[in-house]
Amino acid sequence: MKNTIRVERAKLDITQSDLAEQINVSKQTILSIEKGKFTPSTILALKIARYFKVQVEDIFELEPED
Amino acid sequence: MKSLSIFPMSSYKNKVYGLVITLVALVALLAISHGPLPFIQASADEQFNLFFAVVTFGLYMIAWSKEKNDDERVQKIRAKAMQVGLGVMITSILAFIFCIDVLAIKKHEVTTLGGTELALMLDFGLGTYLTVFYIGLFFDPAWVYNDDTVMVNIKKNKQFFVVYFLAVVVLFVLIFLLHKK
Repeated sequence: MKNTIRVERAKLDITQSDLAEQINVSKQTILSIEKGKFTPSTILALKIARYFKVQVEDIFELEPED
Repeated sequence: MKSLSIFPMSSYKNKVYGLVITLVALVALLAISHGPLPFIQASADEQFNLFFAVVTFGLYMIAWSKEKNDDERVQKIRAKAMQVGLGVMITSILAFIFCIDVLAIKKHEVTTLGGTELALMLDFGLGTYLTVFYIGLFFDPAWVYNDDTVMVNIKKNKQFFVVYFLAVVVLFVLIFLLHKK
């Protein structure tokens, strides 16, 4: 699953640490999600989407192998 | 969301206490190898067995404590590491049992296990769990999050499994040679 968290962060000019603090996870978790190494739970995905004020589908997108 | 935890993890503080207990017990083991500790009225062997159990308890405390920021990624890594640790522990105990059974049939003598041997098996499982957990936590690229079966994983990374298989063979040969002595 690919995502646009890095792009959304750039729009708001916030760091991985800032986002991690806002949604109560570690910076490593944000890094892993951005790299596509870790797929977040529905709750975490919704928290991320809510923070950026967009729909979950605007950030996360399924890939053919998913 | 309300949830019930049957065997909850303890707080992060206990990880620090567990680390201190393990290190102190390891230093004590090192000291005992040069002679029994004067302030404990027991033989060197008895002291060794006692502190070996303390090391195991310390490792258990480290393993069953939360991280500072125990989020869902940490929990997922922990679940996978526990799966690996438990798997390694069960297979190693099974191998140990079969070795004992084969030797018992060949030599017609029953081997009994003491507390230290049992603690050693626990340490092996706990050590594997902690190693896999911290590799997953701090060396993320080394961790593969997949739920594939054994055969699919072997097909994906044949080289690793050849090395893994050879390591297991070497371990068994070493155990056999040590037992022969």
